[in-house]
Amino acid sequence: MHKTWNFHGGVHPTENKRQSNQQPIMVMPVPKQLVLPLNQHIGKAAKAVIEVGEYVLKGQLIASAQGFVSANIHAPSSGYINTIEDRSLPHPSALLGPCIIIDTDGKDQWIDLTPQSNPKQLPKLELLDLIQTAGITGMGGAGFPSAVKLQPKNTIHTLIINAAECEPYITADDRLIREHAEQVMAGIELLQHLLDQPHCLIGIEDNKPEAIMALNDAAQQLSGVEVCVIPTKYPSGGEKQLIEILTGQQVPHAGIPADIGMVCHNVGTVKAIADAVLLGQPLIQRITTVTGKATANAGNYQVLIGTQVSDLLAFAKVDLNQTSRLVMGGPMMGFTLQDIHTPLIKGSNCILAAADLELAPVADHHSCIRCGLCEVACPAELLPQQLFWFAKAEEFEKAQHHNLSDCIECGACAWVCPSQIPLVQYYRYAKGRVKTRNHEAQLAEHARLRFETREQRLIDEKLAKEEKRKARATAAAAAQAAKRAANPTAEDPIAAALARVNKQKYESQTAAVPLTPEDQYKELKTAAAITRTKLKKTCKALENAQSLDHEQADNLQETVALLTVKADQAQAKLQAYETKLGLDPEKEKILLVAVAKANSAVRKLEKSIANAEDPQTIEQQILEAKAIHAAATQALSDHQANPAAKPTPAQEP
Amino acid sequence: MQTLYFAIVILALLAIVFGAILGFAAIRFKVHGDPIVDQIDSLLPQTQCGQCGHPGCKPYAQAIANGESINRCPPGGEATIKALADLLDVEAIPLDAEHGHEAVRTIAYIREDECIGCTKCIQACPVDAILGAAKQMHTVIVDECTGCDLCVEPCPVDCIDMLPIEVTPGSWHWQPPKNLIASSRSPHSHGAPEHA
Amino acid sequence: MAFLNLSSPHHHNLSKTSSIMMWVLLATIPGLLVQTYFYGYGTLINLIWASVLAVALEAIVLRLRRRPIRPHIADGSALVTAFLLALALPPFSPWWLTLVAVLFAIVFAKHLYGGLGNNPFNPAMVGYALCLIAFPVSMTQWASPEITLSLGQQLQWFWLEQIDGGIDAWTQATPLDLMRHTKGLTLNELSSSNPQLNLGLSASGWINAAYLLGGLALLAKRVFTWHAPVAMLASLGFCAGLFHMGEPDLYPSATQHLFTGATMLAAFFIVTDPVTSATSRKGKLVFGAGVGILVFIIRSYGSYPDAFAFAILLMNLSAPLIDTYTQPKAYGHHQKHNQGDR
Repeated sequence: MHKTWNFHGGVHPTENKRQSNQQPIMVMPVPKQLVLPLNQHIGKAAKAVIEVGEYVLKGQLIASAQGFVSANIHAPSSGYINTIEDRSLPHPSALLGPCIIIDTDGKDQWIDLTPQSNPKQLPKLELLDLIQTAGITGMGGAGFPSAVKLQPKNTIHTLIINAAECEPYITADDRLIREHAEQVMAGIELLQHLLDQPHCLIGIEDNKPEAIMALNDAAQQLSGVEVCVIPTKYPSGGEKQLIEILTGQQVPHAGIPADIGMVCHNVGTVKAIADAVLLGQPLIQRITTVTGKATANAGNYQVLIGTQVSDLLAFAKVDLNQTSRLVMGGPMMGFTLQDIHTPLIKGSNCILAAADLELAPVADHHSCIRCGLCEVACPAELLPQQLFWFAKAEEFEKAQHHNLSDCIECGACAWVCPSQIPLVQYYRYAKGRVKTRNHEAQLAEHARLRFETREQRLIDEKLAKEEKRKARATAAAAAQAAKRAANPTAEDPIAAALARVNKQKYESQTAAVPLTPEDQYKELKTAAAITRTKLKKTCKALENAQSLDHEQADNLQETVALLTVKADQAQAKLQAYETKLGLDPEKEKILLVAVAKANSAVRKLEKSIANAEDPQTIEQQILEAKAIHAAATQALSDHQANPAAKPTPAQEP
Repeated sequence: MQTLYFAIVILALLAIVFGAILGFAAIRFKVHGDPIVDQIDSLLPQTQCGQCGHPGCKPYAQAIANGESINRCPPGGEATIKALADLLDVEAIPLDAEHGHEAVRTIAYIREDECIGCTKCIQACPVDAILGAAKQMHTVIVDECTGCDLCVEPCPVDCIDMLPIEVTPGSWHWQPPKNLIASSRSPHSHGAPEHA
Repeated sequence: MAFLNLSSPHHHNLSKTSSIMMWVLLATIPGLLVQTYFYGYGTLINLIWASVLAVALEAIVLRLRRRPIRPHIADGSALVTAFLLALALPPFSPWWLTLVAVLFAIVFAKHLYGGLGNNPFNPAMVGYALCLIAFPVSMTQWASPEITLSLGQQLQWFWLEQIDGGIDAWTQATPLDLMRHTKGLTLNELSSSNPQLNLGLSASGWINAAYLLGGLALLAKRVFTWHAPVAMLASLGFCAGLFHMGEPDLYPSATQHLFTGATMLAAFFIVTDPVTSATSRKGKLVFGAGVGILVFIIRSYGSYPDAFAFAILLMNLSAPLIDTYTQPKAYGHHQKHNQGDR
């Protein structure tokens, strides 16, 4: 039995795992539509590599990773790309973001897969490439691209597999281990091979006896793999906490586990890696727990990535009238969903559809009595109440000084707080503000540099000009003197220069190329715009002056009058030119209206066809309306291409 | 009498010694440049907008060092005033409304089909964030723009818009909770995170 | 379908401030009973009077501060202050003495600083210290444990400050007072010449034991951690033991120090006040140790009968400083063998 250590703090919330871990994993059928956010991982968003309308097969690459920290996205089922548009993201902000929408065709047809029967024969780089192309990201929730973690700079002596699953309610990893322990071990073998045979520790909480048994059975064949049963305590599944429990070491501040020769992977990720290499399947599905008192069929579901929460909830028979709070993730760290059509992503391990009184009530919070329970509970060994005071008072510098950045947002402090203060929310706010502030400071520094460079440049330019002018002046003086010395009877140089200028002017006038009508039109348009803007600005100035009862108001009044005349003149000129060219300024507007009208007619008819008694007639009508629309569009584009052309009569629908 | 002379001599000696120490310190620990100006400058938002009445943040920093009021920077707002007050150990005062109001950060966008290529905005931009050439369409390099507003005025055809910066999931952050009983006057209100 | 938009955690252990306060109140009961047994009904009368006053004053101040009244009264903090004051004040306190103490504790020490959680000083101790300075005679009239007044007599004194036979017949100096003003006698001579001292010592020993019992119950309930009380008792015991070893004739023993006066009441009910003590565990150790040392110094060389009010107020004053210097190292900050900072 491997020795285990303890970490500071931690809490013991009611586990609530039995509701969902008694049934085997159920496979959810392919939903009608899949929504795949381009950014479901930490790092840069992937870039769509398919066209709208394209047919894609299950497992086909639809968005490719951008840069080192990013991940590929594959089609979870076969079907047509409906569109790429902004949809509500599975993120606490519920903001919209770009998603690929796939209309599935139900055939669920795979692309050609290339399973590796003997992956250990492959060069490591190729193996790594397989994992990278499969788009695997951490499946415990954070979503960090896994391949990045497998290319550490330091040597790795310990591989830690996170099977703790310390959050209440969630049992996805528990069921996964019970049913796929062999596949997990295969994944571990691959990782050990990739990382030069590090010792492997699997951390699992003692509340999952069946899973522990399955792991022990599967681990027997492997050397260098130890199953470490750890006491159930939240948040033992936090990466840093698990490392401390299993090795007694702490990840240094602002560091990563690789700094102390360790790397940590979630058990689900390990299985996904095994699938990717041994079966050739990219990451397109995962196991998600659906639980909570509003769920009739609580349990674990094998779902396609991109399945909308609404589809999954319907399949798991969730009574939406019973729940007022939908949590994605667990009750300690998950976030509430606002839009039921939010898609599940690679890191979505649980949907908690809780009945109204199942979770902590929305309560007013009381004053902090500095009882210190939060400090006792904090696994990061921080002083939560100090951080709370600082966050509340917006003293972010001090909060940072108290190691705000080391907070893992596990929520243990808020869980124990007898005054029900939402401590973590304060820390999240403070962290957000610190981040924004640092970003702004960076921008400011950048702007300062650019400003200073520009100032310097302007000064340099001025100096250079001055220098040049001086040089020219001396050269000219010297030349003049030389000239005079050479030819004292020459005519007056100024008169000569004037004559030259006049001559040039005359030549340019006579030689001027006549402007093309388009250029002339554009020039007039610009002139009109400029006078308009001038007028607007002067009007503003006038208003200002009048409100301040300024002396200049009278002057400005005159200017405005003058400019009004000028603007009118410019407009008149423009219009005169337009008529001269045979342009009707209203023409384009009329055409635009015609196109819009035709378009709406088509739409209306299309809508009515559903309820119509006589669909054929309406179809006929639609065809007619479409023809009109096409004609109008044609007329408009003709007009835009060649405004001077004789207009064709617009067709009224 | 002798004690008096003695005292005078001692005092004179002491004066010489301390004078020498002070003189040495003045040379040895001489501060080059004017660090306070740089420190003030580093607290200003570097928008270079000139709303304070100075042609840029550095000149305003210089002016503050010379005793000008610290509340004339609208883009920095309360936060900058507070930081300046901390640095200079003076009282934080509300923003001087004469120089503008604190507003959401914006970025300039040129309506490109209306641009006539006059280069006036390029000359106005304090951080060289506008790209273009004479008679060619101009565009704003979004990452460089400080939202200073200075390009809007010179544009002869009024084709520059100042648009607020969009919130993305990356830049979004939580708001502070608001339902603390001790500070709320209506005990039964639930604060910010309410029914959406 | 609208869903709640809340920040995690969505789960809570459902503990409440008021239940912590209730446990503290319950834990004072053994001490209260023993104190009543030895010194008569005075303490009980004080307790009821102080509680009524505290709640009423709290409500009035909350009203003036325009804060919601119900939730703040319900948290029980005013009652705790009242209980502690009533237990610390002498049994022969007239009504106005308690009034002044409670008024000062609730209004000045607590609400003028911003209410529960914001007060730098322990309210009960502020009220107690004020009375000690302003009304030293009333504050030193401890009942004699050998005679017990009837409830009627006690009430008569409480309300009218008149009593048959005069107050002097019923009161005596506390053992601590006696031991300090030895008039040149050694402790042994004092003890043999003054039977009252032994009686007083045994009474306060019992009372302290009762408070110790209540305090241990609170420890078992994890209302507070062991750090501050243990540090306080240890440092007081250590100082006392050290000096007693040096000059047993002048300095009482560690046991006598630990079981006289308000030692246990202070250790488990006042030093553990979370609002006004240091935050971190290390800080609590320092805080407790500081109180212990100050108590020993003031008891041995000061001129007041007991030292707790001043010792605790002094340490309250230095709690922020202690916090600054005892900030615990966060996760990932205390390893040397890690390869550098990244």
